[in-house]
Amino acid sequence: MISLEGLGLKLGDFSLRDISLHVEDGEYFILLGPSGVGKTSLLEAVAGLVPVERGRVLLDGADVTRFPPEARPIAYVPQDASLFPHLNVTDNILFGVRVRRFAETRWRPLFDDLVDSLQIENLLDRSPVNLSGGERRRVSLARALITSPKILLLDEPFSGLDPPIRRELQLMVKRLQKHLKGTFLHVTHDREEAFILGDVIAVMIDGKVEQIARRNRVYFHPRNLKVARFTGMENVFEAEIVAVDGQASCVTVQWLGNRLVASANQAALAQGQRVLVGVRAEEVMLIKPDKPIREGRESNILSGVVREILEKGATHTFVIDEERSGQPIVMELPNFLYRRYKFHPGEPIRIRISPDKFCVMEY
Amino acid sequence: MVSAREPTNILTSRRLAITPSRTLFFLPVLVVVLFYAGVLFLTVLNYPPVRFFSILASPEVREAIVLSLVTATGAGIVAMVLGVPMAYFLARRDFAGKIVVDALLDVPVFISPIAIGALLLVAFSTAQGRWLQEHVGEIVFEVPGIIIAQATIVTALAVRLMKATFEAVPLRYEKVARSLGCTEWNAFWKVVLPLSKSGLMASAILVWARALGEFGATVTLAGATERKTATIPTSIYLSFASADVDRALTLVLILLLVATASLIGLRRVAGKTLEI
Repeated sequence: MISLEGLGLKLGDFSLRDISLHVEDGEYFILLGPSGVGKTSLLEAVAGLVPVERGRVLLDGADVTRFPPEARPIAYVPQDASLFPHLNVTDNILFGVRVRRFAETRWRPLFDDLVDSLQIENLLDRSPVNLSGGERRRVSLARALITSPKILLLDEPFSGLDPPIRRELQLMVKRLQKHLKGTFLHVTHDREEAFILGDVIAVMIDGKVEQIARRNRVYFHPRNLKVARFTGMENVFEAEIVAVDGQASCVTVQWLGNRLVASANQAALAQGQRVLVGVRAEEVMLIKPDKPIREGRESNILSGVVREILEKGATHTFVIDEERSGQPIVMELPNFLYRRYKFHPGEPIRIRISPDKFCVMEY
Repeated sequence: MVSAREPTNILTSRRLAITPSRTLFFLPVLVVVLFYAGVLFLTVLNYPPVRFFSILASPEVREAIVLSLVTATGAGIVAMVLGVPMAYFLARRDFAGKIVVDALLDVPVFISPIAIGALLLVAFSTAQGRWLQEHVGEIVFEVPGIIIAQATIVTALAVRLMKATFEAVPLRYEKVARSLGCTEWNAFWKVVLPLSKSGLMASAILVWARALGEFGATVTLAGATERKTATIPTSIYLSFASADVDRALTLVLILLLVATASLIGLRRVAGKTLEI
């Protein structure tokens, strides 16, 4: 496991302040944030490639902050694979074990395993110069993993690849991580990639970590507006807490004429407090016009008028003007439901927001 | 079906008509080539190298050739041994005063070699310089002086060329190498050096050729004594001074042949990766 404690570094124009995070053994940890916030520098600091100004890097509890890179059992997959052009694929993969003088009995089984898992058998004698982008990334992964690092650092490892190849590699890496029980720290700006791969996601915006949580928590319960916006939560409203449930797991909020139940994930919420509430567009549910409302689902129902319908291929995006608040709500409707009910702009519609997907955020 | 016609490169196609801009680029090529060829042709026509082999056989000329090859190789080795680490350091590190070091490296390229030679001569003639010569070895008007003069001129050139070579090796390769367990030295040895091999070889050949042709600093520091400190360029100068045009031109031809051969060799090692 690896821990960063109050890490601070300054490089050129930007600086990172007070970064603290903790990656457990066998965990796929994603550092998600917009491009150019210093994610690469943070990884390089963990690897020992750039100096740390403040804070500590702990590896299995031992302070390695001042260790040179070669003394850290960490491997690094840089953004563009960076295979050594003067060595063939096999020599690239074996670079680390040769430098570290591992005995063949130690690396051979892992080598065979990686060649098989990453499907690079037919590339072994080739020069990296003639490999495709996807092939280069796979070789780069093998080169890093064969040293059996305590932690693997991945810096935007799939950037610049075509979407189908990127998806294939994402799944391959996720399988490999599970299979090797590896500890991966992966930085990306691609939120889809983050949610596909991550067990734990840290959202980093403007050089600051805004939220660290399990994947689903970040997805459904962003801590604040910055995280909600960056992870693509479309519906965020200002509301006021009117009642707090005894267990504090649910709160009732007042949102411009609507009284709604939302799930609270923050410790200190009090009656009368101003908060933000939000829900992802795909979690806004359609109340089927031809069916009665099921028992236990009478709360959190909103009425409105369809303003706009955008066809997006797999889904249709509805912009609905909510009746009492007059504010727009975005809903993603699967195609089969759209085809069944044939909505048109200007028609009335009823929707429901499930309380467990309706989250309260810091104001 | 889309026809599989080769796309035409408008810059290299031979089929395109002569345009004003093409003429503008081509004309200087013609002028320069004709000028060089003309100079050589006129000289050889009027002074045919009939005594080439007898001059070549004379001990003074043979000794000058050997001395030139030995000293240029010595100066080249000095320049490479000092230049490789220095160029790498300058390519990778930022430090206070780097701009001054960079500027100093350009001095031997900008300033006339005779000025450098004069500086060296004066420096080695001071009390401290003389002490050094007494205790380490004779320099002024001696063979080591030739190597020192040539090395002074070409080390700066070597550092310039190799710094550019090292800068062309992306830093990320070293980062990956370090993360895979290389020390700084290992990363240099296993990654940077192989990747800059052709650039370094090309630099070495250029540096050697430049040392071979060095005259100003050499003649000022080491003097021009036949069969002692006269290199090929110095011998050319001495031949002219004694109005022996045939001998001077024979030496010019030898220098020309050696230089051409080494530059062809340079293109072979550097291959297509490096155009000099």
